[in-house]
Amino acid sequence: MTAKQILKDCVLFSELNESELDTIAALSTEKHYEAGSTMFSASDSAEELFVIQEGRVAVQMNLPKSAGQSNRRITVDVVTKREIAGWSALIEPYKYTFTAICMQNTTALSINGTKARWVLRDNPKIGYEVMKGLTKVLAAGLNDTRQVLISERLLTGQE
Amino acid sequence: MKQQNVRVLLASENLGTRTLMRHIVENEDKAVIVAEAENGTRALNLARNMRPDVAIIDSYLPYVAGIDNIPLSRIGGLDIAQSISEEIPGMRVVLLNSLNTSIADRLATNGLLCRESQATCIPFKLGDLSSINESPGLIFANVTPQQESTASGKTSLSSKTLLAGILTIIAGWFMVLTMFLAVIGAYVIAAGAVISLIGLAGKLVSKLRN
Repeated sequence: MTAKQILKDCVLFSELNESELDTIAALSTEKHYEAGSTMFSASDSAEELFVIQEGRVAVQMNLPKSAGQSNRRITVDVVTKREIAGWSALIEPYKYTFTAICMQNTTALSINGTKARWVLRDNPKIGYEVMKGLTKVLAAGLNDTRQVLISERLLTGQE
Repeated sequence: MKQQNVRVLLASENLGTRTLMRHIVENEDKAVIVAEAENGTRALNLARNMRPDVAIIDSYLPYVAGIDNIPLSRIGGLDIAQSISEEIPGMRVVLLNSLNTSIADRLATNGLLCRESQATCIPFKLGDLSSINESPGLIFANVTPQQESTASGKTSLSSKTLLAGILTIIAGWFMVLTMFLAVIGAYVIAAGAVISLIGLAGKLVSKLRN
């Protein structure tokens, strides 16, 4: 599968035309990660945006360490084929807010964040379509969070 | 020196996956199941209280809350596995890649744990985990169909077919050598060759699938 086809299947880039896809594909490289490896860590500079080709990636949030307890991490999302990880590469302050751990051997298309931002800035049509796609991704995440909040309120009897 | 039993904790919400896990453990000589959990909260409590040697955790394991055990999130397998391996350093934790019910049923009797590495999955035994040097004791695993004529000593159908083909060829040669049934012997040799080819093709297909 070509980089262009992978991008076309991803919600972030699905509205781009052939030449626009070529522009983004030129910024991308295929990367392989072994199961258990860290794709990126929270608070690291967000240099890359990933489109998952194969495998599953757990997106985890680090919780503050309390006295006498080990580090606690909570999986907030699992990213699979055709989905994106590391969208902080497109949004200020360009720092990852979560840690991504590969739960399987994973292949991903890595898009250079800095160059992608230049392209989005210099090509308003690409910028608009990508930001529209990103809004869908973020809205879906927000909706999931609302569902969890509602479930928890119901469980604690505060409805 | 006698090797001690490996005490194993199993955790999966899915009954089919737990059955598969049970078969995998029961197929090992020195492994015994000491506890089973159907959610992450119970798995963590059992790990803390029973201190098994190995915990096999399904990656899609729910957190639960309340006396009715209402599931909150089904993506807690990795979190539970990380918590156990960090809290109980000596314990080896196997995070099993989630399988859908049909695959779990298909592999129920011949599944083998394998460790995901690069582009391949390397089979391993629970008894050998202490020799795998991975920090902090968390192993990302999958289930693969048992290789032909592995630990169980069972011979696969394709191996049996190949053996039958070779024996038929030998029988055909004897017939030819006696000159008494030479013509029939030639046909028997040809049949033996065809059976051997079928056996070889079966072995090749099985190798490609694994």
